[in-house]
Amino acid sequence: MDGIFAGMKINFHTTASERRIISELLAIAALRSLEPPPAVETETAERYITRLEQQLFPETSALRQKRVALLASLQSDFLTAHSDRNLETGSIGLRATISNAAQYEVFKEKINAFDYQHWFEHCEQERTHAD
Amino acid sequence: MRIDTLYIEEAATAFEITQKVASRFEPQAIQKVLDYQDQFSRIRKPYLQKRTERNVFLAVKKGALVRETPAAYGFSEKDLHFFHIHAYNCIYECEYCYLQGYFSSPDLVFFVNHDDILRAMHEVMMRHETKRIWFHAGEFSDSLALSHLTQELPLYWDFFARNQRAVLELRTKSVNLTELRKLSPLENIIVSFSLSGEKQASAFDRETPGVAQRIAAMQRLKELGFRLAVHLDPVIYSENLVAEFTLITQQLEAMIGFNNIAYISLGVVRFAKDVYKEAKANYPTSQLFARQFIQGSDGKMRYPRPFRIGILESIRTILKKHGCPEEKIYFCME
Repeated sequence: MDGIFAGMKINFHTTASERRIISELLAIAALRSLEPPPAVETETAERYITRLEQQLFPETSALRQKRVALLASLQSDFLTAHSDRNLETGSIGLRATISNAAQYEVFKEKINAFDYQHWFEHCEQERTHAD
Repeated sequence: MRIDTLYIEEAATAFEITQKVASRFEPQAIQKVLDYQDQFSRIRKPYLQKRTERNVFLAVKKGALVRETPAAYGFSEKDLHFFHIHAYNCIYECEYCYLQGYFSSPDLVFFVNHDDILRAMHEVMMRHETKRIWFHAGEFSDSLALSHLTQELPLYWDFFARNQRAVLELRTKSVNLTELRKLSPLENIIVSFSLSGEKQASAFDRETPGVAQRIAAMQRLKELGFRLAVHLDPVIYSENLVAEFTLITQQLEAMIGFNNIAYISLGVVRFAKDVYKEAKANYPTSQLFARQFIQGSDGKMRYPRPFRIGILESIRTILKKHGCPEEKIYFCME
């Protein structure tokens, strides 16, 4: 696996985890005899991983994008929301740093306005054709 | 069966079955050992060494003889499910096998204290007096592959004939019907065959009988009156998945008939984390790894959930389309 990675020209910084993920994805591409996209010097490891995943698992990537879109209403400069990247569960992670009353009001509004039932049903019904 | 060394644990020599089983092997050497684990577990032996060296241990199983299965392991959720441990390791070499790295050696261990196992089964039944209890054989070893040598089946037959509330499932990929032919079918003993697409089996199920042979063995058992079940597990994704499972379904429908199949389990390939690493090391260029595996909250490596549920539903649809009643299908370990 490292051999595959060692043969690639990666011109951006990678953490150990990113190297592992990229290695896994490159190995999958090799097993499927696919040419992976070239690593562009100016991009980040995260962006390169996304491009690899889009090439290898387009349906799964589309589902991830759909989840991002469904959580968009929970994003702001003081609130971030993320879901299980593996699509294994419908759990939502929230991180809020509230510094004043106005932010707290916005936070409550966003939480109350979020359609959790719709989210839950979407996660339960996520199905991909094999990609 | 030719083997390198037959190790006989001292405690095992007191059991009548030990001499009978020992005489069936053709070892290059026989060695008595005080505790089989001194040899079996002392030095870690690479899994693939099973290709060139095969040792057999006859031993007494200590510790747990019967264990509760993980959730969603067997058919019928209202019943209780256990597996009993009468052997370790297998003569086959499936690339996805969870025995890779599970034990420190791929050598075969056959336990001879079946009476203790049967007593443990009886205790389980006494603890759960109103429940139907399933005992699954084949968790750590194929339940039929060497049964003509290990000769334990008649002992279990007696027990299950007397205990109708218990159900025995013999899980196998073998077509070795030698012992079963000597026994009468019982309503509470089910022989279940693991099947997959023929291409999948030829790619990943090394040393095993082909799928057509397994279905032919099922057909023979059907004619003899045995109860049958099927495990379409593990399913490994391929571009021909739908065509391959349509073909198996047609074969099952034509040669066995769904009315003669008690249940069909569907499960997508999965690994414990360590086994995943070991399998990748053993078979680095295997197409088994041509899809993405992710680690779930239970630590197991699987295809991402939407992908595997999509696969399972596709196969369930194929089965239903060919007349398999929905209530006979269950998703294993999902």
